[in-house]
Amino acid sequence: MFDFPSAPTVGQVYDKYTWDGEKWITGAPNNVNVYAPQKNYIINGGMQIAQESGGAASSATYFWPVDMFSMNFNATSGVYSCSRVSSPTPGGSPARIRTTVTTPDAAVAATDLVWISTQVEGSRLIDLLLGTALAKTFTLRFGVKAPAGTYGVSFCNNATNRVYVAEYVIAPGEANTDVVKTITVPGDVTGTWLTDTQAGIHIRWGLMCGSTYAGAPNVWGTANLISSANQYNFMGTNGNVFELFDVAMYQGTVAPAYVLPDYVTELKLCERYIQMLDVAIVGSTGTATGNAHFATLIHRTEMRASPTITVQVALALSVATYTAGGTGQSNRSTRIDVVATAAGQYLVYSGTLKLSAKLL
Amino acid sequence: MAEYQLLPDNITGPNTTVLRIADQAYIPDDPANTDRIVYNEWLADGGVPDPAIVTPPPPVVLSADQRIDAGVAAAFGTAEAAFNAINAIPHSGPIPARYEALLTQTKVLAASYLALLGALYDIYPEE
Repeated sequence: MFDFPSAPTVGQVYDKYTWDGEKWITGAPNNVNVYAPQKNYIINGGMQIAQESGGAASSATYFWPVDMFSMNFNATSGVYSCSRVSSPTPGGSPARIRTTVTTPDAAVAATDLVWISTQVEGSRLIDLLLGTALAKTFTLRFGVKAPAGTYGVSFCNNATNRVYVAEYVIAPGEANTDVVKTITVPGDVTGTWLTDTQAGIHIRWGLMCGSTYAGAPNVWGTANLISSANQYNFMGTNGNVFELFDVAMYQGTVAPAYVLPDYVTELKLCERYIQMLDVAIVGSTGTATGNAHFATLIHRTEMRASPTITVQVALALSVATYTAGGTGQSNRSTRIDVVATAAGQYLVYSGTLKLSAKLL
Repeated sequence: MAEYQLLPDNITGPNTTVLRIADQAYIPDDPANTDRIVYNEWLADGGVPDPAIVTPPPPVVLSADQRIDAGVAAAFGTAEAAFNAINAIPHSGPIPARYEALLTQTKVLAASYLALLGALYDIYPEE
């Protein structure tokens, strides 16, 4: 026997029916191509790619256990260990982020913070029309495994002066088990929302939040908030474990079931922000051309910005100095200069460059 | 030591990349690069990067052919100057003075001839 809700909201689902604003329908509305997949704004929400960490654990702040997601803290005396772990998720991913408290901090000071963050580039969410009268509603869905309590997620623009905090609850019966949560956010109709290559939106999962960064939920405001005053102090108990997985964000009020992205496609998306590039320069230095060589390396994927380069040298023979970047460096290619110890040398230089154009 | 260091010019032009010393990361001059944003804020707060360390070019070592060519050129120049000096000795005047001049230039000519041979056969050790 059906008992449809008497006052449904657009997109509300009951059994196999969806309220379109006028009537209950099955499947998709008539003006929607049912075969068109919905755009997921989140990159690497399946936590498949970990180019930088390689799966290693860290207690540092601004640590990237997987591409596009960073683990952060401020002020707290508590310590955590964070890493990507192999643990199948309900959405089919083989991995998730796991954070474990190794030194508790039961007293939450005003500026104490622990949070997980991801950003979406402005150009990727330009169709949400944020900051305009036509701003669209969007829905975040994510898998989480955590101790019981109330938690917050904040959404904010690049300047962190347009902020929306939403709460979700891990009920006692859901504690420390895999659950999926959804949060629907009305698009912000004011403020400055970047649509270029910089971070368009920050999404931050609060694990600990002092009063300086806690505010009222479910309303757009101007204060830089991470969570609400109801935020559970995850750092308060030694051994607490928080896991995040299967993260996606869609336009509208309904989040479809999570679909794990194709690995290769997701890697290409991640490479816009970070990529590892192998380099090898082999040559002899004559007298007429001097003692230096340089190479221009084409990026596998065009990057968001000209990247920061960290060099991991594997082999250097007859190499006096090397420098990366400089003339010709861009978001499409990277340059490296190598100077030999003397003329007439047979020079060999090989290594790996870490190129980072991560969002902040 | 500052947190950042400037870098020497590239082979082909100036280098506006800066080195973050802590992790030896090269940060390009791109305002969209988040590390550059942090660096620019550091500059605005009064930070002064360390100057670039310019590595002196390694000494140029000439090849055997180049050394021979240089020796021949030097010897030829000296011999030519001695030849001109001998020809400039006047045909008249005190004999002792003209003899001294001829003797001097003949010694120079002989020395340059030896140098020429030495360069050609590369028989002398490098200085």
